[in-house]
Amino acid sequence: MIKLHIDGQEAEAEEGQTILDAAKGLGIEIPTLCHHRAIPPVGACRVCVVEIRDGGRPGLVPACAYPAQEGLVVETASEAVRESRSMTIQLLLARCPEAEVLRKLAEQWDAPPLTLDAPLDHVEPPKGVPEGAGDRDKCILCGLCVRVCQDIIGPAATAFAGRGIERKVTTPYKLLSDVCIGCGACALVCPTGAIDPAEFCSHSIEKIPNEFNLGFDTRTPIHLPFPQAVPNKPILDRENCIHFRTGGCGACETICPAGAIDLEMEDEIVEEEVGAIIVATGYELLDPSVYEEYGYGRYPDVVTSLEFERLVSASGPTNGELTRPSNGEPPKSIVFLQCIGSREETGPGKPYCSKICCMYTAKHAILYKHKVHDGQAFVFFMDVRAGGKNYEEFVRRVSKEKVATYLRGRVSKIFPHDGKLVVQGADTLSGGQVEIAADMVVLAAAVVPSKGATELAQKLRISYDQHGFLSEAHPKLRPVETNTAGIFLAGACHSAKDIPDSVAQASAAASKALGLVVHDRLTREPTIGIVNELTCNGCFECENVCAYGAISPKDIKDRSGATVAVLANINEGLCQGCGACMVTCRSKSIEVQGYTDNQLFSEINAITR
Amino acid sequence: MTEATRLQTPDDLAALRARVVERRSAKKVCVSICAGTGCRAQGSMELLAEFGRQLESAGLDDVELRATGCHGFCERGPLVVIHPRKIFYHSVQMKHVADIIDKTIQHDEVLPALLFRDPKTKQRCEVEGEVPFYAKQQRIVFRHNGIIDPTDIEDYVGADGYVALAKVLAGMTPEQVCDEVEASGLRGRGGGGFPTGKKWQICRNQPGETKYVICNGDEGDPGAFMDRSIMEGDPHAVLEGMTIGAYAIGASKGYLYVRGEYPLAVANLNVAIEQAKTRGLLGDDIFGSGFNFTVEIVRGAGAFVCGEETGLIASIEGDIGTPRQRPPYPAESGLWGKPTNINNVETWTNVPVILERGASWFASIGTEGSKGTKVFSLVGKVNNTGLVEVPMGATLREIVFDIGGGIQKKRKFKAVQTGGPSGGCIPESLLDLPVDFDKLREVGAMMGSGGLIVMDERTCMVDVAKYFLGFLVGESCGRCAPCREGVFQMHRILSRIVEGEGREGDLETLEKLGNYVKASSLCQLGGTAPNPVLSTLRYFRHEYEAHIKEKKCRAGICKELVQFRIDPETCTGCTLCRRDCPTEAITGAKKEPHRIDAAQCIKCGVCYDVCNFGAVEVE
Repeated sequence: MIKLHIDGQEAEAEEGQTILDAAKGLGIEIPTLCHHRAIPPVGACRVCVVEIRDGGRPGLVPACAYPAQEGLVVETASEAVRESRSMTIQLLLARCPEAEVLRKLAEQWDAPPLTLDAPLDHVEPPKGVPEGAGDRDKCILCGLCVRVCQDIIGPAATAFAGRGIERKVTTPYKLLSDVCIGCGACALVCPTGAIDPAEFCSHSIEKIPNEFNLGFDTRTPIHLPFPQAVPNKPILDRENCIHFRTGGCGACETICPAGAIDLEMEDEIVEEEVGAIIVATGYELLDPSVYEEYGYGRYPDVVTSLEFERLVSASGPTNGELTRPSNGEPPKSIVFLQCIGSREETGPGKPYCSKICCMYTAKHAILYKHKVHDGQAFVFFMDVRAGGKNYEEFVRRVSKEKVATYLRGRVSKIFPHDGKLVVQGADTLSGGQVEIAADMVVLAAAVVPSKGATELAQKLRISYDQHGFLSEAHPKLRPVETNTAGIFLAGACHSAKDIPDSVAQASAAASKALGLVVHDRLTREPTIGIVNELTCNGCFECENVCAYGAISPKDIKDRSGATVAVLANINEGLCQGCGACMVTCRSKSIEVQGYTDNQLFSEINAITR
Repeated sequence: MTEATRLQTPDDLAALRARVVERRSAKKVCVSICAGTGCRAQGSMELLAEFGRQLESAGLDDVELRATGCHGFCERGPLVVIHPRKIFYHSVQMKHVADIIDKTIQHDEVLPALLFRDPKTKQRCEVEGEVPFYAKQQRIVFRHNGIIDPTDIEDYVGADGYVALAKVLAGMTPEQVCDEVEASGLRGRGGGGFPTGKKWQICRNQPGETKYVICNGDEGDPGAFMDRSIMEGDPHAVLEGMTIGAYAIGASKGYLYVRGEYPLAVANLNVAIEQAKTRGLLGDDIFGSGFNFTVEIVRGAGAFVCGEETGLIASIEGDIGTPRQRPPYPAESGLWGKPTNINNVETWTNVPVILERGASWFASIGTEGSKGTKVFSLVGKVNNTGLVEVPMGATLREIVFDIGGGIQKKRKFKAVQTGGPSGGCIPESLLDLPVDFDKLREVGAMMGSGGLIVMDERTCMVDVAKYFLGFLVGESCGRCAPCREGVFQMHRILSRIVEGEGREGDLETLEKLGNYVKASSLCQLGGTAPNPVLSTLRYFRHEYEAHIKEKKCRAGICKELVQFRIDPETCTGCTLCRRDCPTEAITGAKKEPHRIDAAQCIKCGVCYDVCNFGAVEVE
């Protein structure tokens, strides 16, 4: 351990650490611009200068690049440091008056504008790039973009050209670069937001849409799947990770202070033996682009209710500020359309009621009013179906307090006009046609099962209905179980359901599952199939017909342990005693206990005696 | 020429030297022609060929013809010395060749017209040492320059070359070598003035097998050419110094970083390296000691900042030549991350002579803190421009007036600028300052690599500061913000001032910026860049103030602030100015006072410069 003094406090640092690291350890903030944890420091911007008072050559040195040395006495905010820092900020501001980070620093470090003559030329665009692309006026020439591309990622698509005041960030030979892989690392590390890889990359830059925000913003390959994820830890998306695409980078491994990243790690298949399975695959919304009249997918301001949910969320793409996707302005009028694909007997929609839309649309109207106080909201509905504790009252309040104007009727057409969306519909209560010029339209699309739920159901050998919702064992008496023993349902995989219902069903499923596994032994109906191993010839026709997956092959071994035959075996826990295997078995080797041929014949004999 | 055999032992070297010395007996006639860059430019190579032709046709086969390195007195080239009497002819032209052969060589007669005439005593000087330019010099670094043929290793051996290397390898441990160099008090001649022996010791003590030595021959200061002359005129001395240093440090590979603009230096160094290899003075097992050393030449591409050691290393590694933050210093982590010792050409050249003659001898020369001599390139408004080597502690007055012969056209001395573009300007009041590392630093200038630019009353100090800053704006690598932005802003302010747009508070801003750039820059280019401004502000503040407040440039340089006028009282009507005026702005009849038409005058100052009567005045 190296010991040194920073601002009168004793600091510790390890070999290879810098003054900046040591100061961070003490909680002392030193501003930086050209420094990034993943990139070897160069000390170019000089904003992080500190004063060495003793223990080394006295003077100003960059904290980010100066090694922590035994016995150094360092001041991080002495007069000399403040003067130098303030001047650096002023000079950089003279170059880039628009850079917010510099303006903030100038406020913080008391850097009043100096009368400087600063008609500085900025980064020259590569050939073929349209004039005015990107924010070149913000480049402070810190070189992070160049260093990250050369030293960390590898392709060296950006470079410095020119010397001194003529220095510029550009591509080699100032040509559009075909070595740029579009990773965006340069933009990520840029402290002033001056660089846009699209400016110098000859092919298009792939941005990774943020799935959780439904593509309204982008994410990095390493990301939290969603806020408050469980476990709340970032995941690495191999498909988009530069390291897995090119073998370069690996910066995350370097900078993770916990050393938690292991890029050598491989996916593995984990096999667990369990006593119960709860299926909770949830739902998604019907894609409303099938209804061309609403223009979903064509007009950016027509969104689904789930997208609206992200747009108003504090953890969403706009940090909770509701804006029109088309231009970022707050929507002054909004139209909610209900029953998009629900309660539709013909056409691409679903015949059932999605059950939750009336309630959440009322909630959305309230949220909308919270965000846009002077905004106007309209709801087109067929019937308001708000059965549930306090539900009806809630919807009534929204309508009564004029949070939203409820119009009973359907919308026939939406089309853009003069920057707005014109919503044409019928108001069946007043008996007329209405036309609303809206900034935004929210479609309450029908609830449909998640993609892949039916494949899973086939795998689990549980049944599902014509819409893909998973079927319960009995609609009244066994609404949580499936026909297959040990498999339970929770939530919207079963049918459209709101949160209280989902929680109730999930709690029930959990207790059912626990009831299965807390005992050492399972109690079951005794009427299950049994295999006569003397006559079974191992054709496994029975396996194919068993609806519950209860039949599997079993090895028959002799004394030495060698397998002599493979025969059918019935899992006593799964078999429901339906008898399908019995009638299928050609060798008559399966019988249902309690109903064997011998027992039946005996019964007949007794009756007819 | 003897067969080029490998010198296995120090005795082989002694034997070779004895042979060379005997063959070149002191009595033999030899025509030695300066083939330094200055004299070449004035036709010395043609002269050499002409001598060869005429000597051959005269049947004088036994007269030796030798092309040497630079003598330093470039003002009067081409220089020819006739041995054995060492008759020193200057400004020799083709037409003189026949005379020299006929009279001097064949009949031992001196040609007075070609001898240097001392402007003070009006005496003709027959040998070099009598010329005032040389009289006050002490030539240690330049010990062989102008005497030996740089392309012939035997010449160098004959002049006691490689004796020091033989001595070191035969009987000194690396520690002893470091101690000896440290005891000599030799300090780095590249500008920093760091004690050389100490530097070697630090590098030597670093762990690791692989170490490097580098010779910094990237002499970038405008007007400086001392390292060039050494590399051109005495390349073996550089190689010998590097070899000794490599032995002391534990390196087996050396790099010579030479500016691309120095083709002759590269050529001569290449010849020297080949010859040294053939003789076994470079390569494996030098003098049977088991010590191996090779040298590679790297040509720089002309960036001033590559003279900075970390920038130079980056350049050798193939990167853009930009300096990096120190520490780690190159002695700890230099070329390819290995411990590296960098010294400049002049420092390396001092090394063999220190080990040959001993540390105490070297330490007896110079001042308390700065030992030995220093080569300066004396340029500017001085009569004798050229390279001068004086002991440390010689005064500026001695250098400028005694050696340099004073100011041209008998004008008044104003300042001398030392240390290259980022050095400082020293005023007349400090002319008696003994020149050494510490004294120069005290007065706000620096030794630098040894440029000395003399300025007269026709020099505007604001313009000078602007000129040097302009150079540095162009040469700043641009990596760190203070140097890139700060020096540029200072240059902008100075440009405004010389254009007559100076404002109240400009000087304070300049000082503030200057001190900031000095304290906060990444490397010493930025660390010294404000020196020209700060030192002129210190000694010539009144000139700045005259520019800003009175909008006047007394030196008559800054066009926006100058008005030329002819004093009718003093003007004799000689018409000289009228004839030289490029815009015909001067009118006047012969023998009558002339006058300048301000509307046509472009303020070039030609009239002022040509007037022999001081009739042209600056307003």
